Amino acid sequence: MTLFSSQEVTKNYRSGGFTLKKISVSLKPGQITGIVGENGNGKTTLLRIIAGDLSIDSGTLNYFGRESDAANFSWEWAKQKIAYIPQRIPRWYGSLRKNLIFEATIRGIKGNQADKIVDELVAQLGLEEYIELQWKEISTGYRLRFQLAKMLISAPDLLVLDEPIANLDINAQEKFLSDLREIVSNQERKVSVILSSQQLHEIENVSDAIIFLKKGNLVYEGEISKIGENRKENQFEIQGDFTPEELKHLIESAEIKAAGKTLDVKVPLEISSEDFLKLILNENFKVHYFRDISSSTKKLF
Amino acid sequence: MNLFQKIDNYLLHNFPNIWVTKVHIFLPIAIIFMLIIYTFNVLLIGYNIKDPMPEGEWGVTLMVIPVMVFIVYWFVIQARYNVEKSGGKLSIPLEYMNFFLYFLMFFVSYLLVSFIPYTNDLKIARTAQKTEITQDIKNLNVGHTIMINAGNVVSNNDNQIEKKGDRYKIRYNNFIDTYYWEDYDEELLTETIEEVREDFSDGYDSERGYYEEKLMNYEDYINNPIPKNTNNLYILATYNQLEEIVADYIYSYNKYTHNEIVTTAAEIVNYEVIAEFKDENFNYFKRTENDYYYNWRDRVEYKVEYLAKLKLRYSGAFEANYGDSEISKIIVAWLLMLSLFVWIFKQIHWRDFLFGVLALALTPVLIGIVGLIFGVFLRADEDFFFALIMVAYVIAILLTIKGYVSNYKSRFSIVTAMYLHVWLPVLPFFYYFFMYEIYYRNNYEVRSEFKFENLFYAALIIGIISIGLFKLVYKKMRLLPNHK
Repeated sequence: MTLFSSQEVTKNYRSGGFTLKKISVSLKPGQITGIVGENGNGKTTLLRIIAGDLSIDSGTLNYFGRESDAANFSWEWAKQKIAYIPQRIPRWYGSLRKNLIFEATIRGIKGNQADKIVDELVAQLGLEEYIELQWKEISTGYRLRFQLAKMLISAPDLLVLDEPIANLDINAQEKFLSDLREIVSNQERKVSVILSSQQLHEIENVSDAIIFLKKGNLVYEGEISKIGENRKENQFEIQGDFTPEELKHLIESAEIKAAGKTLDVKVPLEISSEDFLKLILNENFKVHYFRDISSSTKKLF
Repeated sequence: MNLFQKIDNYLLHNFPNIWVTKVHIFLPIAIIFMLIIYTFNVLLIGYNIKDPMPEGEWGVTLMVIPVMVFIVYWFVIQARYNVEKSGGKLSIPLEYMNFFLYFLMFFVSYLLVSFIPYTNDLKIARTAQKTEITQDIKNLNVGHTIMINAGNVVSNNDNQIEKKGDRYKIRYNNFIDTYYWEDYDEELLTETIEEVREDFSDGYDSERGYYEEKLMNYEDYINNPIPKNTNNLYILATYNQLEEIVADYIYSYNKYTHNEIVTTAAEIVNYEVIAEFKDENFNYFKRTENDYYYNWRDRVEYKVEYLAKLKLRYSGAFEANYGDSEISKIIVAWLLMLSLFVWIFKQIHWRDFLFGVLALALTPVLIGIVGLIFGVFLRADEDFFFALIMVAYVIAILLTIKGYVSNYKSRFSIVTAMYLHVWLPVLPFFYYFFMYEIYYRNNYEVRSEFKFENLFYAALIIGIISIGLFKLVYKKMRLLPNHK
């Protein structure tokens, strides 16, 4: 069963030359799906289409088992099940508690029940000490988490987040992503998340599936564990006190590219990351940074 | 937690649709303001009828700015919380309730703006009883002829006073003008005004070519309501009654001024004595204040007329300020229209709303262009323009339906829907004038049936129904995906 699927969806902006080309993706329940790609490659466009915020030119969309052009489909029905957090979160007015209670009461959760659900959610996200504050009194990271709490009150089936961690420091990013993981793992909620980000490493760490877009084309869609399944070589990023020439001398079959201090190294499949590191360390070179990107979308960039 | 916070919290937890309107905060503020004004103006400052009448115009000017700030601030708060746009559901009855809460806000704001003149009237109305004013009007109107002719009481001066048998025939003076009262409220006036003649309405005898005199004994005048038709009316009084008339006049007159007449009735009626007091200036008689500045707000006739307006014509300050049916209907229509704007603002994205307001604001330009093309260059008639308006309505309806059934959101459709919605209540008026031009113009029976009231109620019903209908339209349009 899929929560959402698209078949050969295309979108061409009337005002610009950008086109999203024949995108077919599906989102499964209880999963986090990351959308990655360079700036201006269609991540936000695809998220807005999924959130029902942007129309398509061709193709089909299916929400929760109903085709978007079917007679029994309405956007009101679909949007009740979707929560969309845009890149720029709209400002809240008044105390954070009042906003969250308002969010509960307009959905029919009234009286003490509203307090109860808000308190539980806030406790779950570790936001208790900020609940009585105003929007301007909290940091961007906490704003995002409060927005997340607000969205969760509506108990959506699908949570769509556009670049949620773009403006967060590393600690806030980690906290937010672990919150997301916890929410998705919660069997009672049965919520699925799709989010876009430039922070490839963090997104790959938290996601179950990845969608990779390049110039409006779908380059990869599938489980994260399967990205490097059919690769013909291993690929590493490394920094250390050696030159590319010294590394080439050490592993003759290696293909090396330098990007600043980091070396991008492609080696035959037979040389695993452990073998590669052993070879370097045996020569008494010091390693400052290492990352195996053989099964990462990084190599698709 | 104070009472305000408790109410706010209760509404937030149980009635979020009322909580978002914030009327529970703004209405008490408005009521407190009104109570303060009432306490200061009516209870503390008060009014003595001998003083010049208080001015109300400055009160309106004074209140307009704070009330504007009050209403703009309230409107800004309306942009902050929105049940429907936040994903909640508001049933159509609740939408109607919210609409009337917005109306209540505007109505209270209107009351605030007019509250100083109203409380002025309230304290003026408290200065006299209804029967007392009726008596004063009678005293002043019958006595004024003698007063302005004092020193010439028994001579025939422009038919003002003349001897007729054993009585003096005194021309009735409309010093306190009651002539147009019947235009206000027929029913109310039967208590205070009566028809003197029934044979012809204004006493004009077309055969003789002059107004026939209407004669009335002073005793009848005193024992009956104020005459309604005072054209060519004469009061017949004995010499002793002349003195009584003047004494009553002075009594009534002095109630309304600090500059009292101190000359006695006997002195005034007595020709020989009066000659000594007669002055070439306006003041014929000895007054308490010799260097009196004559402010029009201090004129006795102005005060009594104003009091009569409050107490007799309108039965109170509230009726006088808010009871005029046609004006109050127009005011209510404007307030309802403002409420409709707030309601629409809550239904659609603020950018779409802004474009809608812009489109409405540009309507006069559109009318000017159409008028120039068809009226000046092509010399089209009025019926053509009204037909054009009808066509415009049909086009707007079709465009709105097209937007409603579309698969994507279109700003043009939303703005058209808003434009149509705002103009829809005015449709009965346009329809009537359109029909008038093509059909009623030559059909006098149908024409005579025109009533502002009927069109107003038709507009009101259409406006009210349109809220339920357009809620569905706006909701569908708002939730469609954008087409970019």
